[in-house]
Amino acid sequence: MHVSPLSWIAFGSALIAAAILVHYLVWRPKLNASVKGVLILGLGVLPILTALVGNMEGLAATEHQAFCGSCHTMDRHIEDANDPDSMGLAAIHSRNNKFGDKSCYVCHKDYGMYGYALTKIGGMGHVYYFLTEFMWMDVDEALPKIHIARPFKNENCMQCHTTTGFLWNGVADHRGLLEDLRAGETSCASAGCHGYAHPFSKPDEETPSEAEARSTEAIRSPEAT
Amino acid sequence: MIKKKLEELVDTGSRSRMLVYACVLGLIGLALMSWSLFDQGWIPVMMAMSVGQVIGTLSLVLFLLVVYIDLQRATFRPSIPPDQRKSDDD
Repeated sequence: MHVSPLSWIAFGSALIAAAILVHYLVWRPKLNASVKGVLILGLGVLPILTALVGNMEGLAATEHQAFCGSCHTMDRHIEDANDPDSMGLAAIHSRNNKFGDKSCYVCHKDYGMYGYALTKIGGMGHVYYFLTEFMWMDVDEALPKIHIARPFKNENCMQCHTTTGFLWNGVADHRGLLEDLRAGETSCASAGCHGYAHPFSKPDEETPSEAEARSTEAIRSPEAT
Repeated sequence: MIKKKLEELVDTGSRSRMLVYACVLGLIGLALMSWSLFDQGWIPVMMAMSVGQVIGTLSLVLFLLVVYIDLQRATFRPSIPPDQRKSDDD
């Protein structure tokens, strides 16, 4: 568990506010101007500081794997993403420290103009489905029912793999499908191309081949792709 | 209806009881908001950013209501006696 310095500041202000409130509850001093001044600190200024920092830290926390993995239905996805032997797209990317602990968010976020807000609204949808449907299911029961809300956008892959690099264009299939890939008509993460991001969740479908795994290892610089 | 209830509260409400409620609600809100700083799973984070903040806001509103009631009930004495003011006006 990582606690940032900002969180400690927020916790400190919460402690001071709590001390003020407990002091009032125990001693019940006469409500004069100075007591009101102290109470506005304990009920207004310090809790607002805690809430502001809490919001910042809370929103930042939603980008980490630990947050996504705090629903039991995501256990297998997280295990697969962190499996050093897995050749699924999620695992390959999670091993890259540009994704690392934030790999779920980096791949699944919306990169549009209102992407941050839309991603959070989408996350609220996940909470709704979890509370109404998946909460009481065990992982084996839930797994066949979990599916991505909308087809995975190639735009997300193209945040790094720009489709303009010489290595990328050196692959004949990429060149042949260039317009389709940019338009999102052929998915990068599909059977027949790079396979599904979480292949364990689709046991009957095609997954990346050994040959592709070797070609992935050969590409050292994402900028060149 | 709500306006009438509020007016009734301002006229007859016990300030000390309202402050006790405000303090207790404030403590609950602070506890919920602090929980998310150390445990960043979905339940604490969402509780802090919704329930915790609503409870915290409610406690502040109660405190501000107490201050408002105090101001309503206060009797303001002018610093200059009326007879003197009258002579000043002349």
